[in-house]
Amino acid sequence: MIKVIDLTKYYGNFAAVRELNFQVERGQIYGFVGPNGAGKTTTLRMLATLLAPTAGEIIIGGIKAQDNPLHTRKLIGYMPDFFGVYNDLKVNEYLEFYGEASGRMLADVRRDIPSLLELVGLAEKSQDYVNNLSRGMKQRLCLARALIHRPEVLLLDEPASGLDPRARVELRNILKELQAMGKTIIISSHILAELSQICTHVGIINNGLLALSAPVSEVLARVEGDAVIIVTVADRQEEARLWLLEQQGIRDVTLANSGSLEVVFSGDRMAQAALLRELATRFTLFEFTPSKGNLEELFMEITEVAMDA
Amino acid sequence: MLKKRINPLLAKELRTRMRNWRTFGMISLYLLALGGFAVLVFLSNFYMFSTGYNSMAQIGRNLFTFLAVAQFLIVIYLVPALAGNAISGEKERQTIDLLTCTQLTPFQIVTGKLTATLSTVVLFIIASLPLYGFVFLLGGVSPLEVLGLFVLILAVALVVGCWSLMFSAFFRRTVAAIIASYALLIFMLGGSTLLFTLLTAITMRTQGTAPFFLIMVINPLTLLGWLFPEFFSDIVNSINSNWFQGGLQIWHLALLVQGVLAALSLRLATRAVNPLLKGKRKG
Repeated sequence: MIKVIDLTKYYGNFAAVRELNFQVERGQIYGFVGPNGAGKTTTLRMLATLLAPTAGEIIIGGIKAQDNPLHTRKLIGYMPDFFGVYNDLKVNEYLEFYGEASGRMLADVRRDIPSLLELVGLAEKSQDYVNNLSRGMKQRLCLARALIHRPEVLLLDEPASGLDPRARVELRNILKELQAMGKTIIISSHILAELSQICTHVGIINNGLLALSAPVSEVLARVEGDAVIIVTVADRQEEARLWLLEQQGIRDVTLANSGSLEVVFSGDRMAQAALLRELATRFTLFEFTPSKGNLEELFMEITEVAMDA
Repeated sequence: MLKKRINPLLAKELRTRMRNWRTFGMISLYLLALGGFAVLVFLSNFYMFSTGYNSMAQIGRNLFTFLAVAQFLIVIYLVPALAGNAISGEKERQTIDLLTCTQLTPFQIVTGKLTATLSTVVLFIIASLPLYGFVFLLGGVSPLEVLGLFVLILAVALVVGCWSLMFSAFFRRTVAAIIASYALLIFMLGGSTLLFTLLTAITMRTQGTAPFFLIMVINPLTLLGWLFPEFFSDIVNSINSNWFQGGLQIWHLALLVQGVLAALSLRLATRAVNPLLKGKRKG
């Protein structure tokens, strides 16, 4: 569905994006992750035909985007990292305007608006002025706007930024529904852990270079291969430490000042479950927590390597 | 059947402008100013009528001349305020990317904004119709002349609107776009007149045939020469009677030059709105 070949963008002498290559198949959710200034927005803007690449090609739906921007814009729904709303329009008027501007007949747009507002959870707000919506609601309205012309591809630039945890969960659920509808989605974020929950594939970009592009399962396998597990037992901590060191897959165990054990473990989730069972039969177990920080550590590791290169 | 659709941007602009108290405030002020001065002009002329120096038709003619010039100037000064935020306002609201991401071409975006500005000017013209009704009561003016004036006001609004849109497309901030539009307008109106007067006065003795009056072709007021030829042809002919012969008038040249300037401004605005023709962007 989307093919990016040697995509490069220079601003003067500064290379914002360098020879990016990746491919996204129909129905996939591709997470584009990288620190601030890595080139995520530049890449998404080039995909949205809002910025001309210095070199390279973008092919969306079999068409070279640079050669036919108007046709490409029919295929994509773009949601930037800011709201971009008209506060003096009502919710339904806002969607009607973008629907018509996207080439659809007003009657068709009006027919689609209720279901679209239902999808993004704004069904009750169709007659409200955009100005009166909360931040999370405006974010969801922007998503509805990106969908109003029934695009096959969605380009979402940090859609969860600034949202509270509840709104993030709601957004995640909407994206899963969209995936079920067959949409191809590229979503950017600077938080790898956030993307790993919804994406099928992940690309890590740093300093304009794509450091990694792989299925999420592969990325998680890398993380799971070197997890840190926090273990707290009621007593006999030293005995537990020595027992753990003898187990298969345990690389290191250190006793922290808090009395908990930090276990460096290389094994998949099944192996973690087996270890938990064994540990629970031998000791009074208070806590067994695989650290969630490992995705971030992997992200740091990859981006540091890319920076050194 | 292929349905011809109204530019959705125009429809949206009209809807939001009509919801805004600013438009109605501007129309009210405009009518108060125009009507107030029209009453003063009428009263002073009526005094002359009562003393036998003026006919009713002459009062009507004087009132029409006053209304024409006043409305012309007011509209000229209003257009930069109406069009100056057209594109820069979209940039400030961060909606310009979303607009260019639709099926609207940069030309449709610019013309949609321009048409919305001209629609507001039409509203101003319609709002002033009762004043012209009063002129007709007095006589001395034909409906065709009034119609001609409205066409002229629209033409000049189009020209000034195109400059203002160009600045609005160039600048990120509305304030900068409006200041640039007014600066150019003041130069076109006052600067050209001043330059013409100074150059003519300086060189009159030595170079009596120099065509400095051509500077006036950039002045939108010159277009009034269509309705009031005596204003301009007398001045020009007194300097050099060889220039305008065979029916050619200075406002013909002004129309041509200002039309070309407007078209050029529209082209530059369209280019500035096209994201794929732009250079630097944040990354």
